[in-house]
Amino acid sequence: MEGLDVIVSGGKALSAFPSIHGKIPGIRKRLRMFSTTLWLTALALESVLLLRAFLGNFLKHYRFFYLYLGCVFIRDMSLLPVYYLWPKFYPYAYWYSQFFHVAVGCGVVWEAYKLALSRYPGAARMARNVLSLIFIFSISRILVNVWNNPNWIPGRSFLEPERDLRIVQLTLLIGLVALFAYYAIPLGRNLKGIIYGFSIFIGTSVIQLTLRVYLGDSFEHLWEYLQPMAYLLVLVIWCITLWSYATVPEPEMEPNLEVDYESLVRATRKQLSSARTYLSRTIGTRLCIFFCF
Amino acid sequence: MLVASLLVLRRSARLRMDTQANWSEDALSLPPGEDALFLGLGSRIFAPEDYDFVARQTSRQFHRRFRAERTALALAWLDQVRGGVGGLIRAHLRAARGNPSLRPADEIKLGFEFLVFRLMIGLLYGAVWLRGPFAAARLVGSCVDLAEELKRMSVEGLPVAGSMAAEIMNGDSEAK
Repeated sequence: MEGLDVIVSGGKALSAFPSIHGKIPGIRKRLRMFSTTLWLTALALESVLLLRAFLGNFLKHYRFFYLYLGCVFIRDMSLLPVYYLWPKFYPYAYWYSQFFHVAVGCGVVWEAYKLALSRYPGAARMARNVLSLIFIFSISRILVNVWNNPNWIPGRSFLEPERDLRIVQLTLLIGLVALFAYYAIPLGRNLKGIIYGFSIFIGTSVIQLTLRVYLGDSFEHLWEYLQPMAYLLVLVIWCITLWSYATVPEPEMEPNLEVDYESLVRATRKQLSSARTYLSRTIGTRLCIFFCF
Repeated sequence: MLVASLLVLRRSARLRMDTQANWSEDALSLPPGEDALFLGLGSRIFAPEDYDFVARQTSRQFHRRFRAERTALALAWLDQVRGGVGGLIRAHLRAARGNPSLRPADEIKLGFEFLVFRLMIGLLYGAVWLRGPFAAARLVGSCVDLAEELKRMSVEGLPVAGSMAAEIMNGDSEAK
């Protein structure tokens, strides 16, 4: 299950609350049952989402999202027996498959960009430029980390590589959301739910992984249960917003669309400049000296 | 960051229904002489003549009341200008988002200018709220004059520093 990971320390897998592991077997059994319940609930919600989309015939509208969800579902199903029968191999199986999911997750961000901005070529052009810059900066940061930190290589440590890749996803998502808000792009219920849920999931993953890197095992014991519960919340949000297909709203008839872009920018800057000049004259100072450029 | 993203998404839906954008669309289409943002009204609100007249001719209590009401008027006017310019920018964004020849550099410049304008009006709003419209205008004027004086002094100081540096260099070369 996304987030229900097990600590790897020196190659050995540790369960939650190791200090009471041998002392109170009853508590350990109850915690294990709670983990299993969370896992099975997540599997159930994932299958409901996939089935609903299949029966409603709207899988094709959100291909990458459902591909991502399908991959997570298949992995969770296959890792369940590994977790209980071969716990030594679980961490490796989890972490190596996790990188594949991070890559597919980037596809979800791309799909959100494509669906929301397909009818707004101007905003799409802005998004391509801004997101490219964000991507270049984020990848540069990772390359610097790789250069400076010998532990960054997957295999030696899984936490930092996944955290850094999730940060790239999160910054791209935040950039995209900021653009949607800036240009007042209408999203529709489905797309909003995908973005809200994915943002919560990526955000909590970044927080978890960062705190785990800095605080160590003491934090992991708490987060081993908080993260799966956060993932369940995300699944509930997706179930509500993706219960039925809702089209992305059509753009309204834009005023001044026939005006070319140059004239539009010139007119807006002129109005802004005259507002600034009037303000200066009104206050009776040469305030524009500071703010004119 | 998550909470900010959620709030930003919610705001995008609210912006679509903002009726002030319609007002500013009219502003974009008005002939140059028309003042759709009521900017001309501001010079009357901030004019010191009324304040001086009231200060000379009336009691202190009346004067204080006049200042309070004129402050409220000034704040309302600043709100109106802020809202009007905000609507203007929103109308621009709605027109630009569908335009395939949008230039990101121009959009970023415009965004920055708008941000500076909002900062400017925010500072003015704070100054008017704290000191009233007339005192705020005097305060702002004093700050601008002080900045200009400092700039003049630093520029005038440069030739002196240059000639001193030249003397030092000449002295060094003669010593050698």
